Amino acid sequence: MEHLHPWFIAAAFGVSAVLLVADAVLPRIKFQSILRGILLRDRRPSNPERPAP
Amino acid sequence: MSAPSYLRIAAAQLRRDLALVWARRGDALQPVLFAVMVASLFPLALGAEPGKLAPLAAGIVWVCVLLAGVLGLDALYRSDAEDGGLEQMLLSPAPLALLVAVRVLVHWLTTALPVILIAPLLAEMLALDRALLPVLMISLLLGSPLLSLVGAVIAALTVGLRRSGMLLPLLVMPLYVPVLVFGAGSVAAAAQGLDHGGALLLLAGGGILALVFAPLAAAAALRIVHS
Amino acid sequence: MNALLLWFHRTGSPPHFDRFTARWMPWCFGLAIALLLIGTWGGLFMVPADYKQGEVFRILYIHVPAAWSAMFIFVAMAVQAFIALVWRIKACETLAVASAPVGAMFAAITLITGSIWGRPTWGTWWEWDPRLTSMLVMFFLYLGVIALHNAIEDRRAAARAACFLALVGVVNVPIVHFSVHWWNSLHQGETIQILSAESRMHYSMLWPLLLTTLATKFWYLGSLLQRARVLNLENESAQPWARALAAGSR
Repeated sequence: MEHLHPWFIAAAFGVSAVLLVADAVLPRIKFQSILRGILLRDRRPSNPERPAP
Repeated sequence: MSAPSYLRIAAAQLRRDLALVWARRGDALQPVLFAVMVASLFPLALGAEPGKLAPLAAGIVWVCVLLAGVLGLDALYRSDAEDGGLEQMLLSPAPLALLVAVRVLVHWLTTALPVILIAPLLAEMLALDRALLPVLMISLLLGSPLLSLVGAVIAALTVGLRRSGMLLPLLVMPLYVPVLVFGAGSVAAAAQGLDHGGALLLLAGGGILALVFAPLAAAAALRIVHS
Repeated sequence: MNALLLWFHRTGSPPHFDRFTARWMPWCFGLAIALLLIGTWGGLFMVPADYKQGEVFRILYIHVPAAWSAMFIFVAMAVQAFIALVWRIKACETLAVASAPVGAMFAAITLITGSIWGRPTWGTWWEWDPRLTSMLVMFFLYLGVIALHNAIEDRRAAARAACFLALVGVVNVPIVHFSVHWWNSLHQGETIQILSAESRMHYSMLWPLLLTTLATKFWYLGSLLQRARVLNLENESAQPWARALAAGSR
C-alpha cells in the first residue's frame, strides 16, 4: 500500500479542493442569475410596476 | 362567564382526536401491519436461521417501531392544516403546548402502542431470546414516547408543506439516532450480561425532559411557521 | 457603544448589507486561499513523515481543520439562529441559513478525507467510530436545515424554521456523540483510537495545521458573506436598490 500513498493524498486534497471551489463559485452563479432575473422582470413591457412588498 | 378550564379543553381535544381516529379505525391498523411486514422482510432477506436472526432481533423490532411511528408523523397535524383546525388551535385560549401534548398522546396511543403490543409477536418471528423480551418491552415503552414527542416538534416545522414527501422522515432520523442506540443497545447490553439499567434510565430521563419541553418546542415551532 | 449599535443597525439594512458583504468577501477568501496554500505546502512537503503511518498521515492537514470547522460552524449557526429567533433580527436569520451549506461542505470534506485516510490506515473505507458517526449525523442535520429552508415557500417562515431546526440540531449533536461512544464500547469491546495522530504530534509538525485551521475559518467568513449576500438579494429582489444594482451590473 505504501507506494499508493501519494494517490490517496492527492485524492483527499483534490476532492477537498473541488468542494471548496464549488462552495466559492456556485453562490456567485446564483447571484448573477438573480440579477439577470431582476433585469428581465423589469424590462418586460407588459409588466406593470410591482409595488414593493 | 369564565373560560373553560385548561383541563377541560384538553379533555375535549382528546375526545375529539380519539373520535377522529375511531372514525378511521381501519387506518389505525396500518402501523401494526407495516411493522409486521417489515419485520418479515428480514428473515426473507437474511435467511431464517435462528442463530443468525436472534442477535439482530431486538434491533429489528426497534427499527420497525421507529419506522411505523415516523410514517404516522406526517398525519399528526395534517387534518388540522387542511380544515383550518390549526388556526383554531393557535387562537385557542388554552396553552398550545397542552393541545400539542394531547395530540402527541393520541399519536402514541394509535401508532406506537399497538406496535409495542405486538412486539412479542415480532420478537418470536425473529427468534429473539425469550429472556431478553422484558428488557425489549421496557426499552420500547420508555423510548417510544420520546420518538413521538421529538417527532411532533419536527412535524410542526413541516406542517402545511404540500410536497413534503420524505422530508419529515429525513429531518427526524438524526434526532432518533440516540434513542435507537440506547433503546436497542439496552437489549444488546443485557444479551452480553452487561448492565442495561443505565441505558434505560437515560431513556427514561430523556423521556421526562421531552415530556416537559417537546410540547413547548412544538408549539413554538407551529407559531414560527404560521405567523 | 452607540456607534457600535448604529453600525449594526446600518449594516443590517439590506442595501448596506449588500455593500458590506461585497466589500469584505474577497479579502476573506483571499486570506483563506493564501493560508491554505502555505499550510498545505508545509504539510505536504516540509514536514517529515509520520513514523507509524508513513506519508498518508498528511491528509490530517485538511481533514482535521475541516472537522473542527464543521463543528464550529454548527455552533455559530446555532448562535445566529438563537439571536434571530429570540431578538427577531432578520440579518441573523440570513447568516444562520447561509452558514448551513458551508458547514455541510466542511462536513463532507471531513467524511471523504477521513474515509480516504482510513483505507490505507485501517483497511476499510468506513468505520463506525464515535467521531466519524457523529460527523455523519451532523452532515445529515446540515442537509436537513438546507432542505427545510428550500421546502417552505414563505421565505421569512422558511428562514425561521431553518433556524429552529438548527437549534434542535445543536442540542442533538453532543447527545449523538455520547450515545455512539457508549454504543462503540458496547459492540466492539474497546474504543478504536483512530485518526488521533494530531494528539501525539510534535510541535514542529503543528504549524501547517495551525495555518490550514486559520484558513478554514477565513473561508467560512468569506463563504458566509457571499451566501448571505445572495440570500439578501433574493429576499429583497423587488426593492429599488436591488433593481438599481441589476441595472448597474449590465
